[in-house]
Amino acid sequence: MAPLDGIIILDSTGRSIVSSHFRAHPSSYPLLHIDAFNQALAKSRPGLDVASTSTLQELDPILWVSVPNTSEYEEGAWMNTACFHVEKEGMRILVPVSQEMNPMLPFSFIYSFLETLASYLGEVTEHTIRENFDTVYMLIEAMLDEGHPLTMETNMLKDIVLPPTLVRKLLAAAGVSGSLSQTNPPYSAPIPWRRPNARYSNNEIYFDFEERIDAIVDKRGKALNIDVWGRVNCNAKLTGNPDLLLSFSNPKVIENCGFHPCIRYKRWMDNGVLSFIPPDGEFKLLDYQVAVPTGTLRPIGLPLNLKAKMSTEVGGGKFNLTLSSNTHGRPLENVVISIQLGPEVTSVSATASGDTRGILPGGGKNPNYPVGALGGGSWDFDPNKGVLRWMISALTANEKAASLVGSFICSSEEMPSPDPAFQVNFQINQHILSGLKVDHIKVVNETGYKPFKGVRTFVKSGNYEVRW
Amino acid sequence: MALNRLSQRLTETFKESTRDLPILQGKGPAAQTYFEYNDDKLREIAQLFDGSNNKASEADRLEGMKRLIAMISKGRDMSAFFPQVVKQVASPSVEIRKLVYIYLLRYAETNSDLLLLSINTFQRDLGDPSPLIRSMAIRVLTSIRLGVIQGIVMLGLEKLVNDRNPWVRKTVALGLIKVYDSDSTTLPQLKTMLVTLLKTSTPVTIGATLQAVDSICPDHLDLLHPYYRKICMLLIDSDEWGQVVVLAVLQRYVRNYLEKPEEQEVLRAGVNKQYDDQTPDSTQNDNDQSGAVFEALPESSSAPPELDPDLELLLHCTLPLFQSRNPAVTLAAIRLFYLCASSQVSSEDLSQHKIIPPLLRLCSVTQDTSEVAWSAWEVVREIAEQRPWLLFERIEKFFVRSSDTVRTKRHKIAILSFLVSESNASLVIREFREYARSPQSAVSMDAIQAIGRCSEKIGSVKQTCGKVLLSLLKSGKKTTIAQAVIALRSLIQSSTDREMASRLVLSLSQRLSFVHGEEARASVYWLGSRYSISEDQGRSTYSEFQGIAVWAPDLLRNGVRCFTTEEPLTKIEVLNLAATLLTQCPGSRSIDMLTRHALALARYDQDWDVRDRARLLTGLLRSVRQSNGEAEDDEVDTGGVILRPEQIKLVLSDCPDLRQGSDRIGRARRNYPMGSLSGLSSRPMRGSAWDVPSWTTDPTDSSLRDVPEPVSAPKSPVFEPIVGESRGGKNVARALPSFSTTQGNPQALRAKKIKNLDEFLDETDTDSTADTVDEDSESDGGRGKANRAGTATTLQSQGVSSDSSLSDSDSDSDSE
Repeated sequence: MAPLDGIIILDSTGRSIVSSHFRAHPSSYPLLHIDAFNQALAKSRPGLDVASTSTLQELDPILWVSVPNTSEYEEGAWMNTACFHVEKEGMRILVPVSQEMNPMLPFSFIYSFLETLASYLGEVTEHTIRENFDTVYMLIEAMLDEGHPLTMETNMLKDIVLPPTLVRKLLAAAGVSGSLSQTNPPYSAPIPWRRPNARYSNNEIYFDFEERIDAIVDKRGKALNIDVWGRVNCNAKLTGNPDLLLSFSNPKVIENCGFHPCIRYKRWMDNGVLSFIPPDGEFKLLDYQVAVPTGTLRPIGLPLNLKAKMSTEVGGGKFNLTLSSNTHGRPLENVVISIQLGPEVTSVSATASGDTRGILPGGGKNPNYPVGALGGGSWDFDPNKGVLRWMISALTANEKAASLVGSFICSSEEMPSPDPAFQVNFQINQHILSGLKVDHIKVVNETGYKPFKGVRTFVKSGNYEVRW
Repeated sequence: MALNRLSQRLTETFKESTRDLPILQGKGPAAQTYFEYNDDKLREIAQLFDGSNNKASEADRLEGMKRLIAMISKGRDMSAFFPQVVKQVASPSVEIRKLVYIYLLRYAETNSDLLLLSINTFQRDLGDPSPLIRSMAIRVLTSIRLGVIQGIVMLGLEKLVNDRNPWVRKTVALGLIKVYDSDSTTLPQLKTMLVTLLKTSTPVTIGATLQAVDSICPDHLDLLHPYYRKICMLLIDSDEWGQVVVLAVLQRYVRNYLEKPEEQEVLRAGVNKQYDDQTPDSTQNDNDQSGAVFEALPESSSAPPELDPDLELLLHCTLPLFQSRNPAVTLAAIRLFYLCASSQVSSEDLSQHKIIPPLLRLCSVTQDTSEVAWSAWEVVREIAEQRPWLLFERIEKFFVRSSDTVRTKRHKIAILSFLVSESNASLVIREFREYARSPQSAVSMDAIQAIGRCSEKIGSVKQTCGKVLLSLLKSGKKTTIAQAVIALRSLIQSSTDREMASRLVLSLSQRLSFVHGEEARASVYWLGSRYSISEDQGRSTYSEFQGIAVWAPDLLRNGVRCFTTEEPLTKIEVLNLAATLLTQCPGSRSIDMLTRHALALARYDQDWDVRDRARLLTGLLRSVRQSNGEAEDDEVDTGGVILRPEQIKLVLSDCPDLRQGSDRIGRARRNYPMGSLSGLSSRPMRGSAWDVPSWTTDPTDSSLRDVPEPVSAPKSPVFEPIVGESRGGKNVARALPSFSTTQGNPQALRAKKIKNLDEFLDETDTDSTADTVDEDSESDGGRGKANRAGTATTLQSQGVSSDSSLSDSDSDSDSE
């Protein structure tokens, strides 16, 4: 695997805050990459000339940069290099690469680097990075040895590069620095991802199951494709090195998992249980995909039913949306249906209607309907972006369908070109689409305590769209 | 040299000028002060290092180092401070030393002489009790790259290559690469050290070790023979970054030394046949069709394919890595399966088909990993192009969402058009039609083009495609119409049904006024001249236009009428149309007049291609016009050959196809290895780490991979970071002894191993870990009994004891 050439952090104006490594290259090399990136960025952003939105180019996450060839082994005056970049809080992390390699590796590295920074600095912003640039440098130095990943686990890094805590800053300000002994001898943690000697007075562990539904629904309301992706975030505050066993009553409903390195694959493959020693604090335990039950085509049914009709003609168009919930038990919340009508459209007029039993005549909420039945919600249209949005705060399965009927007109005698699909956003609290059920969570080794365990579930829409 | 003197001079000047300045005020300055750059600041830094009376406090020095690093990150040249920094090397504070290392690595090459002063310190650090210091010292030493200290560096490496701490050995492995970079004559020594590292490899070191093998002797993977199976076992417990390297190296190893899994020619042939099938003779319904792809399978699955047991072992060990959270590992595993696994669906389920679900997982977009999805789509597209049969069953996963980025949409359209087959054609065409509505013209153009390609590929859907494209002509969007016309042209061209073709041409010529764009309008005229010849003599109502289609004269009239406003390409096609019609019915006075008018206009056109074409056609048509009995008043006899009308027709019908150049979807990228940066960018990148060697025709004997002698057990209890239990479970760890003890033919090996697997599957007791420890301890290197128990306290105490024993043993080497 070829090495990464270095890492650059740019501030929001495109100037470098941190630029490290690059010893195999001339000093112009990182500058060429920064230039190339800033140019590509400018092309992808609407500048002063608003009318030119059509000429905007998408900013590809990998840019191809030609740099003067400095290697004596290769022929030719120029060589091809790649600039990988990731955006974070307005900053850009750039990783230039000049040799053939796994195209995912630089991204993985950046993600991992950002995660580490977050655990060191709290929040990763321009300010915190400038404030702690020496820590950032030492981290890069510890993580990369001439471009090869060296020590990547945050918990191990914390033994090597001390996090800039407030106490340490105070001590440094007072002039006492050498006296600070390190808590653990570095390179001696028995488990790479776990901080040794974790101690808590209250032992707790929380699991957040979050499922995300991607769907394409055609104009007749038939699902063309449904994918349900899940993610389990975990927050472990446990003393010592607890060996946990998380088992499900129906593990077969999930597949195609992406595991945190702490999970023992074999146990999952054989018994469908998650056996692991968790890292300390917050971490992502696994990603999964909801399996398609045998004999069916889709993993689940659609959580809502949206019928979308739209017609366009020269100078305008009409639309008619009908929305009802298919999710029994829990209400759909924060439903937002949006569509890009295009730059030609100047105004929209529409009427939203729906079940109003949840609203008292005076305008207050009817206590008999704690959620839902709040009428047809509201809509708005942003003529600058050309986006129409329809918002309903809560919708239950046992209420009358809500609808939005209206029309739009263009500025001139033009054919409008709206997006061919409506984007649907919603969330369902305390619900799980897959029906995945935690059977039990237990600590299998001797720890001398019984932790408090909490499980939460949450569903939200991913890329859910309904064509018209 | 000059630099050194200069820097010394600078320092002296600084000392002089700073003598009178008051001691720096305020200890913890705001971040901004670090990044300011002016002479005062430089003086302050110098002050910090020297302090008053040359006794700077540690905090001051740390402060000074921090400021230096800040300046470096601003891109300033701070090499003038080299002398002061070198002095800090021996600082008791680890913090300062870390910053010093960063600085030294930056400027080591320019100030080599001064740096030599500090070599002693690094040498001493090699024996430090702290593994961190040892590993940092060797890192700096190997990074200095001075010929003079080569010997010292080699001694250091040789000393630490047997270090008990795997993290130190990892640094050593990476250090070998640096030494090789600066001096390739050290190869023999480096190889010996590599073998040592391979012998003692652990999950921590394996990645760096193979990295070193790959960088130092990429063509000598035979080094790995005795360790191949051990590496496979270590794979799952290695860290993510190591796994990426191991998978890439073993991919090359496998293709160089192991037997290629049998290709299922039947399957591939069957798929290709279906895939390329042009004849609409199939009457099977959808279900039969999708089954047809795998129809060839049953025979082969009854006789399971003979997979090289060593390859099988690797694939088994790689299988769990599909589930890595790290996309780089998942991709590396996908690549290994794609390049090394069998294309058959075997009972062991180690086939290439395994790669698709994890690949699609990478493609699924979440906000925080959109970059990964972007790259993953590139890979899927590559697979769709080269091995579409892997993706046939997943076609609905590639349907375009309007929320996708333009690039992803275009990839998806390309993927769909690679996957289209008899069975799914109507579904896919319906989708393409949907995408043609997209407001992004690049997407809609791709979609329309894809419909055209569908009709070429699948004969039976020509009618449907034609209808869809015709309906797009009514969409009212210029770009859509233009693209639809171009697609229709290629559809008509590839059509064998002349009746349908001329019907389509008729409707096109009727809609000419709605068609915009050079290529599109040119296409209409081009089609006009191709399909204007009508065999049915009676169809023309006017006797004047005998032998040509009824719409043709009007098309020509329109063409001549707008001639001056057309683009060059269109003009040429209008001229061609005129010439064709005139040759076909030379008696028509209207056509003759129109032709003359057009030729006259073209003769004085701005574009020389148009003028050239006009000249050519004028010459060509001379016989026709002479036979009309017209006076050639403007032309004297220029001699040359006069062609008969039949010959003219031949010349005209032989004019170049417009088809070339419109085929943008199938851009060639197969020269690059799968999933490589070169492939993503369609331009070559340096480096060979991602190369795909061709399968060896002469696989090596599996006895080469038998472990020659039991891996020597460590002399003293060795500290080892472990996880309590291997992530792969006991199974993986147990397969190794079975390999190492069994000598003989591969079949025996295979039988033995499978038995072990079965045994394992029968075992459900999860608490019997301790029973297997004795078996494991031999092969498992440092994974001792106590460690398996996995309690933190024992580990801790062991770590300490091993460290202290180290410091004892290291003390004598210090006295050298």
